[in-house]
Amino acid sequence: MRALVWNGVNDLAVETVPDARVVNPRDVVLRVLATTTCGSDLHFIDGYLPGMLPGDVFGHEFMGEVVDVGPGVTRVRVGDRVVVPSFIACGSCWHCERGEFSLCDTTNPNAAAQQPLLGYPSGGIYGYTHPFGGYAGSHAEFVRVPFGDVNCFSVPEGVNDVAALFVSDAAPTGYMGADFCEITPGDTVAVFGAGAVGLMAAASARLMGAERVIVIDRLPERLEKARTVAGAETLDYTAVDSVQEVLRETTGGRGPDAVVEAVGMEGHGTGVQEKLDRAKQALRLETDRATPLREAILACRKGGVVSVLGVYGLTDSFPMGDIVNKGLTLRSAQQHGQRYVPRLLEHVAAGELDTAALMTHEMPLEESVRGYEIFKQKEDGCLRAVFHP
Amino acid sequence: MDVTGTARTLVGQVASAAGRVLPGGGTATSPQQTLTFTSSPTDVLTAVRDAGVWSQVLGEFGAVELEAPGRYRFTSEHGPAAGTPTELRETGEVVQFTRTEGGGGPLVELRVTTAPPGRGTEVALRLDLPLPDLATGAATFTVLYRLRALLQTGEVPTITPQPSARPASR
Repeated sequence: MRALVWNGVNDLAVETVPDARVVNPRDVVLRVLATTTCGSDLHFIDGYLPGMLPGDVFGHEFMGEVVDVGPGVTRVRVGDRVVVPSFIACGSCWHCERGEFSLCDTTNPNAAAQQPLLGYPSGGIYGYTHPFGGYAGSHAEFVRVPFGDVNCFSVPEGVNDVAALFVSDAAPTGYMGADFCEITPGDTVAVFGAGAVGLMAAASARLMGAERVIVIDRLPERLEKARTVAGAETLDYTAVDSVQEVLRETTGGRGPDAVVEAVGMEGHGTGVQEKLDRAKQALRLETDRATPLREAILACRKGGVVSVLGVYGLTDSFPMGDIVNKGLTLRSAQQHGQRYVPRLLEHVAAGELDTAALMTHEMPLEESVRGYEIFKQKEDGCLRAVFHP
Repeated sequence: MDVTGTARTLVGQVASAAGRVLPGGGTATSPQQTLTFTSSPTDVLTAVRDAGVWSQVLGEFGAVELEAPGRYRFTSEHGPAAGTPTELRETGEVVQFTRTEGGGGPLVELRVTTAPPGRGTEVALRLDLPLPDLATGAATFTVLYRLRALLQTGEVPTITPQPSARPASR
């Protein structure tokens, strides 16, 4: 089959690889109908996250048609059109039973490699670094899905492939981030980052009853999406002297009740600290440019919630004192998609959540190397590039 | 950082080490790894008497054969063809596979303890391997993680075989 592979830092290629197939009894194999870029891929493409091997098939946000099922699969059928969360869950371990699916205790074949990094290994993920399992990814004609009955969700007839695609990762990640905020009527939620996850967090906060949602970014086309997709107010951080002041003034001096950070380790910003981060990152003295994370912590009102969705490594100058002295609650996780996908599909089917708006570029898998370049450079207003194998 | 290669190497050495254990080795200082299983203590103890279970958790790196009641032979394609014969010894909540040739302590020691309410069973594993502690610890963790996965889901997580553009998988 044809697949997009990582051959080294900033070295991608579409190549012919062996077909994905059923390995374990509860596996399912999908013919991939749609698969998309994700900002977290850029971290290993750019070389900031180690643990990829040359030749790895990557990609973790996808949907497709079931073409094969293992003998232990009972619910999913060949021909089903399904969407699959990016983290792999077994559905039966202690964490899965509590809805913490990305913390699954049993699906990481390289758990011993991750244990020293995290203390306790996470679940596996498709098409990411090997400490996260090393599973082949979805930028391919076919992909193997372990525990198909747990991880495949049927797409309703009224939901098209692209709309369903983003229910794999961007939408549940954003929705979970908003869920962490424990929104009550009258709340103001600020969202740092108007990428796909930030937009879904903003739209989800609206769905959950936030009175106001304020999205902070610098790219005009993304801020426009925030207004149209999420009904949010927007703030261009390059156009103001202080994001903190604007947020404080526009909330009557209280500050946002909750702040979602949806940027991650390659964030942009202004000021001296951002320049210092950029220099240290270039010299491999730190992994993160964490301006948005620090800004999120500073921006949140006393006693509020900071919900971190961005992918980070080791962050310097982390303002722990602000968290303590302001009594903040910091919440974070990789997405527990299996908890949220059914209700997200209902929201999409009901026209309450426009996930398809996240796609700005669409192309065959054969053009995916170019697709990642457009995505990485944010050319032509690229928010997400979608590939069809 | 080739963490995957390192992990695979370590796992591969688990089984092969079974046939290369240094005389006089013991488990007193072997690194212990502990995981909590949702399975009951009885289910864990029953499972580890099954040579097939050990073969599954060792996977492509080795196998265990039941030669006679209470007699198990650990083998690996990387180790001596004859493998390492062991005898099963059980004392309450402790299971040991003790070498029957060449002396030395248990090759494998597994201990189960009931976890706090609602948490299942704490399972501690030691493997006596002729490796540095760091490598032995990683290998022991992999085997224990696989054992938990097998008991709780019926499957051992694997990425072998799977598609890649590496020459070995073409």
